[in-house]
Amino acid sequence: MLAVASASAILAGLGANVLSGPAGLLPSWIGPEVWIGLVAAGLIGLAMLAFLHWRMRRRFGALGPIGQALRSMNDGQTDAGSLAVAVGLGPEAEAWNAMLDNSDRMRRRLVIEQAKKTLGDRRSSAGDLPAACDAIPQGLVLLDERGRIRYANGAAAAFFPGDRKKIIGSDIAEFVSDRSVIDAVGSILSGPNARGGTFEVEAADAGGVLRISVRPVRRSGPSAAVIVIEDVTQQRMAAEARNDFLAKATHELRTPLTNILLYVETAMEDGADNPALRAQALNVINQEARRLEGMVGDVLSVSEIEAGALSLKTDDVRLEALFDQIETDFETQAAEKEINLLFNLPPKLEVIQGDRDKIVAILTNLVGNALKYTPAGGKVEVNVNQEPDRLIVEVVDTGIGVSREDAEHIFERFYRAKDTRVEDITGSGLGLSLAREMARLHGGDITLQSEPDAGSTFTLTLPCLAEAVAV
Amino acid sequence: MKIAERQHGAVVVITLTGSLSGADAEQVKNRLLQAMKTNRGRFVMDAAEIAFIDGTGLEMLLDINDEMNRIGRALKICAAGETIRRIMELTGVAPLFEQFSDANEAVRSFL
Repeated sequence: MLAVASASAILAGLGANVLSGPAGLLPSWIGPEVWIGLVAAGLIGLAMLAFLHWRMRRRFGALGPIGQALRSMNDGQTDAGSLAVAVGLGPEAEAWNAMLDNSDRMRRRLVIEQAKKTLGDRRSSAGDLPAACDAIPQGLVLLDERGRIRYANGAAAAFFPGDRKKIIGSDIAEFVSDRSVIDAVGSILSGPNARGGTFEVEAADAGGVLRISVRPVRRSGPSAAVIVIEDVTQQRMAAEARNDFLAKATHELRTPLTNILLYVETAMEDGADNPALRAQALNVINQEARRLEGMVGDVLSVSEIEAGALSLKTDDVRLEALFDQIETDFETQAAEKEINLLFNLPPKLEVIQGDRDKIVAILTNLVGNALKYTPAGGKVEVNVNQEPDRLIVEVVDTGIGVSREDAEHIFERFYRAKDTRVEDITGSGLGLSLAREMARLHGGDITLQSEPDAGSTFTLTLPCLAEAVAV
Repeated sequence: MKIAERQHGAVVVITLTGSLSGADAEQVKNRLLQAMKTNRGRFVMDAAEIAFIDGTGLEMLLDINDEMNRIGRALKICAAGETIRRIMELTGVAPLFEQFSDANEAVRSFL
């Protein structure tokens, strides 16, 4: 600015001289007006140069400090405060400072996100354990030194009534009333030498049996206990059913065995002198031995079904031949009892896929039962119908019938109808149960319609399509 | 949709008959949830008589399965027919359930 001012002063002085000086200094052809014009133009030019210089300084003044900041940054300086330049240096300076702020904010956000991720990973890896505990079907409960629940997995929460969150912090005695379990927990929490125990407890709320194991948690701090709860209702019921089955099977097997022993004795003692008595005894022995054989077969089949080992040996089954065999097997028995046994077969029966021996066993059972429970002079009809996808066999008798109450249980093992007339007829109570299991193995079923004293109709349905057979 | 129940020892077998879809799904869900609570998860869904399952039905089964997963179990489905098996396989949900060929096998799985 000083330069501009001094130049202006010189020009002004020159101008004044030009205007006021001797005429000999100026060419004669240039008038004083021209000189004044030239001086004014020079002055304006100088002023513009000065303005341009000022503007340039103002415009690019920030570049120096920014360059310096960049060099510092290269040397490792990262602090935004130290790298910032004076705000008065123009818009570049402002932009530079804003850029520093932005980058600083982004760096901080990156650090936070990184930290969150690391923390999250740690949390999720810690979360694997509760998730694993929730995946087991046994209830798992961790108790603190005062017997309060510190942790309960999903299954444990299902064993206890109420909300899972509310369980935490509650006393275990609120949920388990069994004295032996509470005592075991108490002894673990009060002394270091208790070993806990396993108890079978009747569940109060939903019924059933729970096996509760109480064990100490060995650690340096206060004592703690872990409880494992298992629902063993089905196992208990299966064990009871097995024992019951064994008891009934043994009883049923003993009856023919007793008869055999009795008649063997009779034949040995008196048979030598009395051929008629001996023949009668041998006949009874023969019948009872056959009965025993049938029952042993039934018991074996039941145990095969129980073990899941009963499978089908599927092959082509020619139905005409099969029904011929059944008819031949029973015609003597029907004739002896004066029962009219009729087989109503369609003119043509397609070959089906199935286990021939098991189908014969099913039909033998149904026809045998019909003959057994139909009084002399009655009628037993076997009606066979074949539809495109299934075979329907109805065994209709005019026998003693089944009451509604008995009909609900007649397919259960060892179930014998309450009817007093049934008590006189021998039977293991396994036949129908087995027949239905075998029908179901084929993908079919057996159903019953009956009226007491009017007769019964057992309907066997078997699928005819090869792919419908479940093996 | 018809819902029938029969007891096999300590296990309840719930047989569904008809199409498992739309409004029926809610009714079935309530029944299965009830069985889950009262019988402590000892139940089997017999699918032999289910003719068809739509999206709502499948979603309901998945909901029940989630509930069962929370107590360390999975929904046990038995005797599902070809149609139902294919629907479950095509939608990718088949591996989520425990499946059995018949009710007896499913009941034995509780032993």
